[in-house]
Amino acid sequence: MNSHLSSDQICRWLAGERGTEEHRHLRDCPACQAELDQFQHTLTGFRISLEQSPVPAASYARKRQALPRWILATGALALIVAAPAYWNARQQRAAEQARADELLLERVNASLSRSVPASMEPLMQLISKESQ
Amino acid sequence: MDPAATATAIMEHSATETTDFDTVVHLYWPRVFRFALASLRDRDAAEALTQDCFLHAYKAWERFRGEASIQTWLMRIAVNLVRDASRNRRLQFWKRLRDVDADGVGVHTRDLRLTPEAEALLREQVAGIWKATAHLPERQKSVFLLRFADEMTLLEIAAATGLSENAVKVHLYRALRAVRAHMEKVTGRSE
Repeated sequence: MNSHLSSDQICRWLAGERGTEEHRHLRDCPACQAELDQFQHTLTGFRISLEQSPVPAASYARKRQALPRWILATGALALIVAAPAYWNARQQRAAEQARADELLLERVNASLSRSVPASMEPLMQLISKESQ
Repeated sequence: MDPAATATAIMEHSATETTDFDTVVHLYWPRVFRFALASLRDRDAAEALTQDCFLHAYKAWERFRGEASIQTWLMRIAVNLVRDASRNRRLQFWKRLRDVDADGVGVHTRDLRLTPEAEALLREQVAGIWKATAHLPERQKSVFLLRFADEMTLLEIAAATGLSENAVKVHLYRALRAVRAHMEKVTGRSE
């Protein structure tokens, strides 16, 4: 091999395709060896540039404990669907309670308006008949 | 025990033994995150993907039998998640290169004791690699990143990607050729 290594040959060498001829040429040709070293130096610079990039703290445990999104979405949907039904039922219960309260109040009023207690009413009716 | 020794010890043991999963997270979280970051170019997406990766790993931890090293196993999960995420993000093209771009890679040269000219050239070339990898097909990009960002061997990459070793070489060669061509175009000179 008389001429220098081509760019393709250098790439093949770095990719692991290492023939005897290339090996011999690199040993005997300082220019090609320097070019290969230069490319490797740049690739090392690339690796170091990546290593200097800040790395966030490991947080897989946080994610491990987090609820899956589909559960959260289903929960939210159920809340949206159930909220009006819950509101209606609550209003219905309130109305029934109000009616019951009103009825009770009427009974109390009726009881208060009596001249004698309810248990005495039959006796009072008897007295009233006898007096007539 | 120092982290490297712990990593070696973990790799040599199967998961059925008393390996602590939290130690695995501690050791491999940065690697998986960086791979995701370089693949997706979005810090939030990379963090979410890293969480997913370890969540998958945690769920499968009982079934892991140690046929591959833990690193290879985790990277296999990460490669699959990146592939799925990339499919989902194809329509979200505006998110690409949002977080990580060439401007964010200049600091790395400060420890290399280079002349200002050499440093400027290296910065330009590294920025060129970042830009070039953004345009690589998914498989080429994964193979390239596993080799040159994670320093995995060809056999490890084959195990992580499910490709044969020869297929890994082919993808790696194509990726390198594309990256080199892009760098030559950007810097206006041959390497």
